[in-house]
Amino acid sequence: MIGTKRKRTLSKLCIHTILIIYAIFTLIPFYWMAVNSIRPSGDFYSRMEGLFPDNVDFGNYISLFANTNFLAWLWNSIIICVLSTLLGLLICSMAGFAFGVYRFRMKSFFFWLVLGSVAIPEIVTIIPVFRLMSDIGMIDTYSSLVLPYAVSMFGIFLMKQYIESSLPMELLEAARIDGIGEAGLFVRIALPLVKPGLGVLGIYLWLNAWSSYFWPLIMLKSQTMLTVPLGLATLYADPWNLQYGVLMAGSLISTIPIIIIFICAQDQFINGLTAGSVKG
Amino acid sequence: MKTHIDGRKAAPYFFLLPFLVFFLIFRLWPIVWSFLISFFELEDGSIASFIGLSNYATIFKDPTFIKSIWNTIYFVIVYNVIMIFLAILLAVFCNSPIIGCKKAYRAVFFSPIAMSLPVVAVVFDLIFARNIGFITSLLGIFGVEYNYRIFASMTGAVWAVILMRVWRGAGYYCAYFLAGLTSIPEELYESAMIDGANSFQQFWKITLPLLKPMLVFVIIMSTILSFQLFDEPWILTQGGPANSTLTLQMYLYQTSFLKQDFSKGAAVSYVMTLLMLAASVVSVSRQKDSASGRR
Repeated sequence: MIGTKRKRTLSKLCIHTILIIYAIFTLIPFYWMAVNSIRPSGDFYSRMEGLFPDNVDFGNYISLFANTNFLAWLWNSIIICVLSTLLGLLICSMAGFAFGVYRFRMKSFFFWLVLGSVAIPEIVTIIPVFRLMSDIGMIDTYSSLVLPYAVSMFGIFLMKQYIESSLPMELLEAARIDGIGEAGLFVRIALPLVKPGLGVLGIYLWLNAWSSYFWPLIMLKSQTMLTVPLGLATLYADPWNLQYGVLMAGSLISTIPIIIIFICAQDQFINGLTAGSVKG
Repeated sequence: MKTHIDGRKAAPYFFLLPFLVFFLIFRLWPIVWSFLISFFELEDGSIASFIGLSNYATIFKDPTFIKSIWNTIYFVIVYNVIMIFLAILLAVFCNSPIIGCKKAYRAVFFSPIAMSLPVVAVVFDLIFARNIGFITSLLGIFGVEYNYRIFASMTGAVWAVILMRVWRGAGYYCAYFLAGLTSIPEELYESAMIDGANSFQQFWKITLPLLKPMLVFVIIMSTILSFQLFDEPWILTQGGPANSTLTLQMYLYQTSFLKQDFSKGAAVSYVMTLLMLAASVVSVSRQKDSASGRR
């Protein structure tokens, strides 16, 4: 018996070692980003740096806000994320409610439409949507980033599933008898019940809008309209003026909101994401 | 009362209306329109003349386009094989009943997804950089000098991009595999243990077959996403050195938005779509073959 117990401890140790090594590998870029954001920019090219910072210096952060358009980029990103998330939540929850609660003619046709369009990747739509946006003069506006990505097929699936699993039909019938209209059913009964689903979808939509690069690259032209990822990429692309410290300060600020969201709601988020994939 | 619309009958269409409007404008119509213009020649942005498959013929005669196809396929295969292997391995270890803090590991492994791809690109550039990079500092401790300019080397640049994606993707998909693993009933392993099966046999005979639905889902999702590789190579190398990191999406961007050739761009986007669909079908059917072959 002692033999098996020792074997168990040994394999436990092995597994922990492997997992900890991978965890360190995962955290190194975060660490390096943070360390370099508080290192004085001055001695960057002069000498080799150690793994640990010698002293803390917030000069990079000051220079980020004083010498670049970072504040404007941050503001743009926040506005775009808020609008995308709200619009996406509204459209997906309404469509999910329609698919989850009602029986109607062409229901399977509409649902097939959603399913079928998942098979065709977004890239085929970029040229027509770009042309549409330039025809109606929307290049370089918030709308050009928010509107095209308001419909999320994943979001509709997710909301349909949450509504089907957490909204009892008897409750709806009872509310109807009490004289609540269909819109009232959606706002006052369905939405409060699927709050966890809205949270998961909200994080998903925010994350997509926050980290998007390709579409804003096509749509945004002026320096002050850029989003954070695009702005950071332009800082990097300026070879005469590239200061890694400033760049890392901006990178850290752009990553922190998401980390905070993850710390608060990671369990629900991961469970929501993965639950959809098993069934769907 | 006949004039009154029955609220219950009209309601589903009312709730679907916003979705349908956006779907029509930003998905259905663009999908059809870009398919059509890929067979036409455009003049000043409007359709001029039908030229059949000419756009497709032209891009396939362009060696840069062929190069970008091979680069992309190479990246998709290498990245997915490494990433999925690692993700399953991590998930199986995390899920092992003898260790306690599965959720803490999952949280750490999942965290790279918080970094947007452009940020990943610049942070890894600083990790690989000479003099100021992490590798320089790490090797410096052991007195080893690091002078490799990774993004100036053709293989180095490709593998650096693969490493970045694996770093960001493995922990993310590990969460999916963990969700798949927890749905496997514990009794299966217990009875296998009584029958004297070792850990590897348990993995091949129980874990992998039961993980198959999740595996198929992850392969399709990650293949489609990785086919659209753009951000990191565009920011770091712009396709260089010598087009070694030029991807299909970069070719698409250059054709459509730098050269403003929309009909060729549309053709490129449909070639990409066909490749993605083909890749998903092939990888899924191979999964099915190997599954039925084993039984």
